Parts: sequence; structure tokens; C-alpha cells
Amino acid sequence: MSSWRFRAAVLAAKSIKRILTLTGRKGTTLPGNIALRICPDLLANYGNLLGERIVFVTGTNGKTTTSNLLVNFLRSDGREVISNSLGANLIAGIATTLIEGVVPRHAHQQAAVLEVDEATIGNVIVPLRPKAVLVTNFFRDQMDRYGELDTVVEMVGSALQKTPSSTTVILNADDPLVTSIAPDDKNIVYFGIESSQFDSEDHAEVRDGKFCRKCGGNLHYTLYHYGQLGFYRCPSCDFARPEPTLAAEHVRLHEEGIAFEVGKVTGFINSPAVYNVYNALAAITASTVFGVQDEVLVSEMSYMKTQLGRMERLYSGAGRELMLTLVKNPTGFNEVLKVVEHERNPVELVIILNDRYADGTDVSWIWDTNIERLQQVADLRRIYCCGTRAEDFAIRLKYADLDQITELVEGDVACVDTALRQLPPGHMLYILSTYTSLYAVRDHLLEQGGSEVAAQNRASVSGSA
Amino acid sequence: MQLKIGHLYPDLLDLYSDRGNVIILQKRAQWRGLDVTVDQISVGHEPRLADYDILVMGGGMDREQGIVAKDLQKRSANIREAADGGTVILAICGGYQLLGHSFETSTGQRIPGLGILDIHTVGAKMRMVGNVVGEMEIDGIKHNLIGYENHSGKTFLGPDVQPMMRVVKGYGNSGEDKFEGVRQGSVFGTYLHGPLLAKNPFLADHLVELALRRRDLSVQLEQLNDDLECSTNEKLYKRLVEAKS
Ligand SMILES: [Zn+2]
Repeated sequence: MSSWRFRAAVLAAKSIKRILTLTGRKGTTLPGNIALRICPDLLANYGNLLGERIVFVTGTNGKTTTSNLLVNFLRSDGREVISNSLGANLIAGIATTLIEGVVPRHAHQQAAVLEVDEATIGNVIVPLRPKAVLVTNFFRDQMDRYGELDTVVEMVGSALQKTPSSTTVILNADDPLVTSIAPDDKNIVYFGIESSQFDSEDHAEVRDGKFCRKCGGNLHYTLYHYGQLGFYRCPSCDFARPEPTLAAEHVRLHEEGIAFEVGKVTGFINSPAVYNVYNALAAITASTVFGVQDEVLVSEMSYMKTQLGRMERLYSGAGRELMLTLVKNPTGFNEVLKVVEHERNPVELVIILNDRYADGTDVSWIWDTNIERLQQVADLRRIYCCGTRAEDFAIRLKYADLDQITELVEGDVACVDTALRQLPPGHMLYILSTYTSLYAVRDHLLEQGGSEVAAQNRASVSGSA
Repeated sequence: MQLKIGHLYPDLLDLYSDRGNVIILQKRAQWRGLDVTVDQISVGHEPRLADYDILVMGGGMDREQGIVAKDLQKRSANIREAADGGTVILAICGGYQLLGHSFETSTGQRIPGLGILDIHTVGAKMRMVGNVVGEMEIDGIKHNLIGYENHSGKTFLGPDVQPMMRVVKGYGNSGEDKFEGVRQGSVFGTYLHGPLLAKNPFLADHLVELALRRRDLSVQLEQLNDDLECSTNEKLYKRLVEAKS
């Protein structure tokens, strides 16, 4: 057996981590990489240690928010939870997370919530043997890395086929791309939205998954939630939206967020974007699979807080209200635009477009956004563009006849400062950022004396950290 | 003056935001006071294509491209008539491949194309992905083109086509001969997204002019203010070419 190898690998990884930390680096992947080289079956060792207390969260959008909500639920239930909350979701990042988090002596009391990249899940699902695998949704995203969407869906699909029979697969019932990969003969639980104020009969925004992946037929919809999510069925075969096991009803705007009912329980999430309802439902479903106590779940659901930079409401140091959110693909971006349209206060925008590797190096996707809709937004006085591809966005705005209100500013943080300085009284600032500037901007805002908007109902994060 | 644009298979070939090219052509023509119409043409809708001044076609996923390949065969004579009549055709990525003689998959399967362009494409394992800088001559003037490629097919040129540009950075048609895209008469094919015309307004105008000259040889488009597009083009040229060499 390789237990000496395992121990040597963990030891090596930990000392590398220490050195990296001393030299001021984060070290979220290198230690795991080294350990995997020393002990190739490192992950299987962790799979054994953690028994059936691992959850995978994968899909295009919502991985981080869903994972973090689930971590909160489990911690409030009194469990010790390890997670890769910094988004290190490739194999080396996952290994690093486990090396740092798992304490072998009391691993039987630990659980792990792991955000897993779509291209990585196939390599980690067999050794880690998760208790549950959760698939949020599929949208076209960063094709420079993965190739086309079909390939990504296929990769996750074949990973699901490999799940052990003890695994519960949790799928978004409303996304035909997700339900198309439901594995045969496995335990499957579906979540979905049954009724919502945001429903539409407009199919214009369905870009992905228009066709039945079983037979190629044109999917018929009776209702759309957003993107290709909705009530669908194939007219030529038996593929159709499955009945969700856990369903949200009466999804509606409520105060500064969205409220909904799951059975007799009212859920509230402090973000006005409908996609966060799905993230909440996914986390709630996984909690029930893990047997989180009802009273804990009910109390957690009454105020759920979205995560750092995911439609997050903040105050600037000068007390100005702002919204910070990650954008990385047209579907997510268009959902943010809808929120902007519904905003009660007049709005100004900062758009940070970068093309570093983690952002996706192809910025063509901005031409698939419905940015033209901003023409209808009353009182929209300024759109600031910054980032390594600021000019690309400015060109997009020009061709949407919004060039009169576009302003290019050098530097992401400087741009946010400029926008805040010039923000007229009573206006609100929306900051839309690709990945690599998101946390820098957030950190900067907090350093300048900014703060998170406090929970109205009660503190959202209880339990230990 | 009228400009009739046809967007071929916008619902099937919509992979890399190439609809941006249609928006750009439309806007630039409208800003000059042209009366622009844009028709979406897909399966089951078969207008006479020679009636259009410009036809634009993007790329799609394998599955969608298969549907289009079949449907295109029915339009073969229709498209050929348009191309022969001087309708400007801009085909990107998958659309580009479909206009060639054939596409051979990595498993050896041969999918016939329309043969409007004297090219053939062979599927390869490695994807060619990244920013592209090309040098293209239009009416005797050299321009730098900025785009983005993402393809695994390698396209090889026959004697009847001319390469559209010389590759300064990136892979191009096959990654082997330092050329990217082709032109054959009024038909243009290229792998470049971005979308192609966003940072290359000179090319957009060239296409519109070619299309209009079908009816009136003296057409000369008035200059627009392209400071933003041009400075972006220059900035990226510097970043992609000068910084690295
Ligand atoms: Zn079907």
C-alpha cells in the first residue's frame, strides 16, 4: 500500500504551502500538484478518509454561490466543512484544499463541499466517491478553454455515468442540457422553479440547448425562466422536463432580493437576480440529501446571502450604495441587465472587461449580450469601461448607440473611484466585472471604508468559520 | 440607396457571437443614410439569394453544422447564382468551412461542402486558439486586422482562391503557411471572430462598398469617425505583436 507515499506527499505539500505563505503567495494549486506527483492516488486516500461526506458542485454558472450557501447550511447544522471557496476547482486546487483541510484523526467528522470544474470532474469522481454531485446549468462560456458547449456537457455526462451507486445526482430540472445527461440507474433528485414572476413566453434569449440532445428535435417550451431554463419537452421523443423533487413556487421580487416558497417554507435571498434562486434551491436540495435538520434549514432559508461579488450589495466608504457582480458570459450578463432595468433608483454602470486566462481570452461574447436594452433605461447617465479590453466594450456600446454616455478610464480600481466620485446623489452604481478584477475591486472598496449591507432579518452566517 | 443584408442560419450558426458582424454592417450603413434591411434566413425559408447585397454566415457547433450542411445542399444553385452575381458573402469559421469543397473529420468521414470556395478542410486534434493579427491589403493600402481564432480544422487553399491576409501573429488557415482566410470573387471566408468587423472597420466598409458597386460603380462611402476602433486596433497590435517580439 502507499500510505507512506500518502504521508510523504501531504508533508511535502504542507511545507511548500508554508514557504509560499511566508513569501506572500496564495499557493492554492502548487502544493496539490507536487503531492499528486509524489502520490498519484492521493485523492483516493481522501475519498476513504472522508467516506461519504463529499459533495461536488459543477456546471457553468453558480458553482461558487451554490457551494458557499451549502457550506453555510452544513456549518449551521454543526458540521465541520472543508471547501475550496477560493474557486481553485481544478485537480491541483482540489488536492490542495483537501491537504490543508482534512485532519486524518477526525476526518470522520469532516465533510467537504468541492466546486469542481467541468473538465476536471471526470478525473476526480472515481477516487473521491462523492455522496452527492450537483449540476447547476450549462451555458456557453470560455470556449477558448473547453471548445464548444456540447463537449462540456458530454464531459460532465460521462463523469456522471461513472458515479458509484451510492452517489445521489442532483440536477436542475429546468435546464434541458443538464437533464439530458441524467445517468441511468442512479439516484437522481431534481430541483426547479414551478412558478415565478419572472417567467416569460419569449424565446429570444434561448441560445444554448435549443435542440433535443436525445433525438435532435426542436424543443418546445410552454414557459421560460431565463436562458434555456424553463418548461420544455421534445415533440419527437419522450425527453421532457422532469418533475422537480424540490420546487420553488411564487418566486417574486421582495424588498432588496427575491422571496419564494418551497412547500410551506419561505425562502429569501438578498439578491434580485433570479439565477440566485436556482443556486439556493441547489444548496437546499443538497442539504436534504445530507440530512441537515429541518429547523436549521428553515431558519437558514429565511435569509440567504449571496456571495462575494455575486450580485452583492455594498456601501462605499462615503456611504454610496453599489452592486458588485461577476460577469463572464452572455446569459449571466443579460440577467444582470434585467436587474438594472428593474432597479428603482437611477443607475450608473462600471464595466470591467479583462481577457486574462481566468477571464477567458476571447471577448467576442460581449456581442451576444442584449446591451441595446440599456437604451430604454431612464436616467442612465454614464457607462464607464475599464480593464484590459475596455475598448472592446466601448465599441460594443458604440454599435448599441450608447457611445454618448460611454467613458473609458484606465485602471479597474481607478475607474471605480472615478465613477463613485462622479455619482450623482440618489444614483446607484452597478459594477460588472470579469473574474480577475472582481476581488481586487471588492477589497479596494472595503479598504476605503466600504461595508457589506447588513442582513435585515438576522445575521446570515452563523456557526463556525 | 438600399442595402439588403441576409443573415444565414442565425439560429444554428451562432456560436462565437458572429452576429456582431451583422450589427456592424447594418449600423455603419445606416450611419451613412443607407436604407438597410436585415433578413434572417434559416431552414425552411428559401428566398432568392442573389437579391441580397451581403450575406453573412457564422459558425456553429458540430451538431448544428450538420443540419446546415444538409440544408445548404438544397441551396447550392441559389448561392452560386448570388456569388456569380457579385453578392458579397462573408463566411466565418464553420460557415467558411462549409463553403469549401469538403470537410474531412479526424475519423476520416468526408462531409461535402458547397464548393463555392476552392478550399478543403481537414479536422485535426489540436485546437488553434488565440488572438490573431493579420496584414491585409485593400485597394493598395495595408491594414492590420485584429481577430480571434478557435478552430481545429486545417484549411488548405486551391489555386482559385487568394489568401485574405498574411498572419503576423496566430495560426491562420492551417497553422502551416502563415495565411489566414480567403477571397474568391466577392466571397470571403475566414476563421476570425472578435467579431471580425468590430476592430477592423476598414474591412466592413470595403464589404459594403463592394456590395453597392454591384449596382453603381461610382459608389464611395463617406468617412465615419472611427477613432475608437482604430485606436483599439493599434493598441492591440502593439500588445500582441510589438510587446512579444
Ligand atoms: Zn427528442
